[in-house]
Amino acid sequence: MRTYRNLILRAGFAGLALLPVLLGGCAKAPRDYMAITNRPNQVSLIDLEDRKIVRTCPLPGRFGAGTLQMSPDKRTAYVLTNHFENIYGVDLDTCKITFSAIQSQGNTRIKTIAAFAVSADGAELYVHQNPSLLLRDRYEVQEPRMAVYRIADGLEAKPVRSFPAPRQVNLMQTDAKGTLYLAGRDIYTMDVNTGAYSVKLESQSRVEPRYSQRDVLSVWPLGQQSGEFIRMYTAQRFADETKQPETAELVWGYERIDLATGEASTRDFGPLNVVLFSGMTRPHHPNEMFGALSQLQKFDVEKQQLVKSVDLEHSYYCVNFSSDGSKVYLAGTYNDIAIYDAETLEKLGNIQLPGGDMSLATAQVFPRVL
Amino acid sequence: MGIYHLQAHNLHEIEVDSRRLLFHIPSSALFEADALTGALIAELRAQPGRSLEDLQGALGGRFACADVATAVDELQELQILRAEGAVSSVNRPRVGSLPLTTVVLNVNTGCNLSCTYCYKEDLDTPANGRKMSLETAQQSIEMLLRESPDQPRYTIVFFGGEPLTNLPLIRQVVAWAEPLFAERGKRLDFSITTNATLLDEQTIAFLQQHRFSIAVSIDGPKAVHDRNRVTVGGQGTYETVARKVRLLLSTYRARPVGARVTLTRGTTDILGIWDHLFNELGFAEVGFAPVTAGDVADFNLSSDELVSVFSSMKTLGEQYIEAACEGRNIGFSNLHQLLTDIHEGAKKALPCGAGYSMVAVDREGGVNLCHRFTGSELPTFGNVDTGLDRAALGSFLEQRLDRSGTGCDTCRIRNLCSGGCYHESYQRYGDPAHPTYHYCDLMRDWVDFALGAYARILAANPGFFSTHLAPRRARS
Amino acid sequence: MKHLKPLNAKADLMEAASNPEARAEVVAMQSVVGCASTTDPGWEVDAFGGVAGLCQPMESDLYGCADPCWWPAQVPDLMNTHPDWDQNAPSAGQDWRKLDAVFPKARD
Repeated sequence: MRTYRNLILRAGFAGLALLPVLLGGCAKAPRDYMAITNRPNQVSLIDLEDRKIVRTCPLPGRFGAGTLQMSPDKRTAYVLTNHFENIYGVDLDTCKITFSAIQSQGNTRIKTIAAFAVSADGAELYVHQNPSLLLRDRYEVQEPRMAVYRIADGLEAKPVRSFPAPRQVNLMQTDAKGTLYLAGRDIYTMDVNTGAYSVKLESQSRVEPRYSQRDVLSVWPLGQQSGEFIRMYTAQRFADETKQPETAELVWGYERIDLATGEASTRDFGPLNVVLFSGMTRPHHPNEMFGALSQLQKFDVEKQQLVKSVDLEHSYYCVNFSSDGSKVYLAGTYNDIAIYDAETLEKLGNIQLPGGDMSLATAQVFPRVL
Repeated sequence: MGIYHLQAHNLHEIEVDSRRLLFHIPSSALFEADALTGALIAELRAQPGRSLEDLQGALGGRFACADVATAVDELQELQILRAEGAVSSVNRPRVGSLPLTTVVLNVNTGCNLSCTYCYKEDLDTPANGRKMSLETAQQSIEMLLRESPDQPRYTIVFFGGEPLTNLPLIRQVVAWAEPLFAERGKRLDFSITTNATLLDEQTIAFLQQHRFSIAVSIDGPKAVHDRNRVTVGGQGTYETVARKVRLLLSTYRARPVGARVTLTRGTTDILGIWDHLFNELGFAEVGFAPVTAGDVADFNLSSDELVSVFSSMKTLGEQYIEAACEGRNIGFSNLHQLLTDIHEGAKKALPCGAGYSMVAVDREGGVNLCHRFTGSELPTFGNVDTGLDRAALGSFLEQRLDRSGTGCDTCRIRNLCSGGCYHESYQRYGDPAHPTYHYCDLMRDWVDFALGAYARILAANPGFFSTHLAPRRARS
Repeated sequence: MKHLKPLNAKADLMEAASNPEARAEVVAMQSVVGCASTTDPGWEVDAFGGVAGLCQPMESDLYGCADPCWWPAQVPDLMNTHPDWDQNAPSAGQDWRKLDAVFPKARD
């Protein structure tokens, strides 16, 4: 080690370029980072190994909702702000805003309820829009649509094309092949060039002889660390088709798209004892499903059993994981990120954000070399 | 068990060619009622507070029970019948933002004529005429856009005195305003009312180029016109006006040109006036404005003359109906406008757009309800320099919108007349919010005539309306 | 309408309004133009009828609910009508005292 250190000191700055060769290809390894927004209106890049905030970038305008998707190269964070109306692309290395979609124009007000996604090649941004026309004496609700933006259009970009879309879509994700998924009453796929869409996974329209209709809540586009697009549902499971209420068991389940293969799957994963707001499977451990709100819970999917549950110091909305699946990160609500051991559910620490509440913001975790 | 009452103030029945017309006042919808509806209403007028069974019994000889029940439902939906205990909501309109589309600019208080009955309180001779500055005009237009930026279409009206005595300002305003509106993607129309004496080929070309809507103030054939429309020296102006009008009408194609006739004491020959202006001079349409509440009482039409005027309007109206049934429009503006309102089912909470969609600006930049008020003693509603007094305008309009305690509250033409012209009220009663009671009966009768005219034309030639009744107001 | 024949355009409108088939199709709502238009019955208690399942503490859930109009009656409409209501209170847990009631503006 001393030899190497002397070598480095003598080589100086110019010599650093030689280091990968000298050190035998031991290049900087990617580390886990988190991007998260909070009030008043800013996005932070957090080094999760050091548990330190690398930088905090201010965003223009007002907060809301803080939904966040990363570009494929993990350098740009796309954030939904201004009470669900504007999307900004922020370069997390420089805090420069490189893209913006100011959706409401004139007397058309557009709200996006957490539903947007970046294309697999990072060139396009897909946004689900709910337009309302604000006339002098009335409002007219317009048909919802999926709008496509070209990232290269930069600031104040306008959609390059848009298509009619299903209503009540509040999550979107693209898979590795570039297929766009919309999660609403059902989970749909949409062709981003023709706008043709179809149901990939039935949710609300599902009719199961022994189940009540599903109830879904999710405004957090989660799961990338596990290669999935996932949301949870609750349902009553009855003893038989007569659906006697006394026989009902409350269950948690998930609706999942495998982002590598595009395969859809849905199943119950455990008993419902507490309300959970978001959840995903643990990276490298697909049989373990985690969810959180006021408790952090771990389930054995196959056995549909609750493996472990811990009470949290306060409620958190948003669950995420380190790349190796060893740590659980809890975000949302207040302004602290909580860290738990995924194996034991022991608390490992907190990271405090500058500023105020994260509320509904999405915490995205990704490996990167800065 | 519902007990039904007739809400008489919500309906007006008239018989036209043995057809039973039902005018639904809250909506200005016009229906033809069948015999059952007529009988049902008659029953309730004769004896109010009836149950359904009762009504079915009374009408049972002629009409099936089921039909009576449906008819009761339909009338209830229209709030022509009310069930006892049913909650009726009274919608009191409130004025929020003002959908201003029109600004009237008093470009010069000076006028080259001295018409005897002129209501302009701030009238001056041309030498003493106070002209509006370009700056004030620009501020007025900027105020319009600032207060009401979302309209698709706006109008600038040039008024006076005689606006053509300040043609340079008009030219400047047009040149400045057109690009301003164009770059915002808004349509801009121009309008002018003139005595026509100052028209020449150049001016007409200018007006044509910018597609001005022109109204000419002219009172009829020479003998009628020269009685009141005189120069400062008292000379009649017909010869000059007729010459200019012929020049104008021979070349002006941008829009139809209308004649505006003032009816005063001694001037009531509506048919003769219309005939001369429409048939001989060739105006596209003729509108009659009776002076009923002038400052100088000498010019007010006497009550006998008012009756005679409305009667003549009906006579001319009969000619209108006859022509309309044959597909021709004889340019009788007053009836034409009213038929348009009936056709569209206009439900007017206010008598006109003054202070709501239109304001008039005087030379000092003061904002007035309309052009009639510029120079009057009614306080202005702000200034284009310091800002529109929206609160005061809103209060005034809301006062007028509140019909409670006035005769308008239950009047059958309340949604078409809506209390009459503010300026007339101001002149007559000293209060612009006071309804114009002095000709209510005549107005009601006139509207009845128009409803009948509408029904008859509709029966004989329904195509007349789509061809000849273009919407008078820009639709948003 | 069976007993009244519409003659003018307004009468046509009145007839259409009374005809159930002519009424527009009712579709699932997805626009929010003011929070009074959303309802989330059962917020005050959790799914099991108690309060243990609610977010803890209540303040941690305030913006999560106010931001998307999830909190129907208790707070001003942050999404549309009162977008600056939270300006002085970035941290609900610490700043809740600064969150005040809103009052109608005087006519300007």
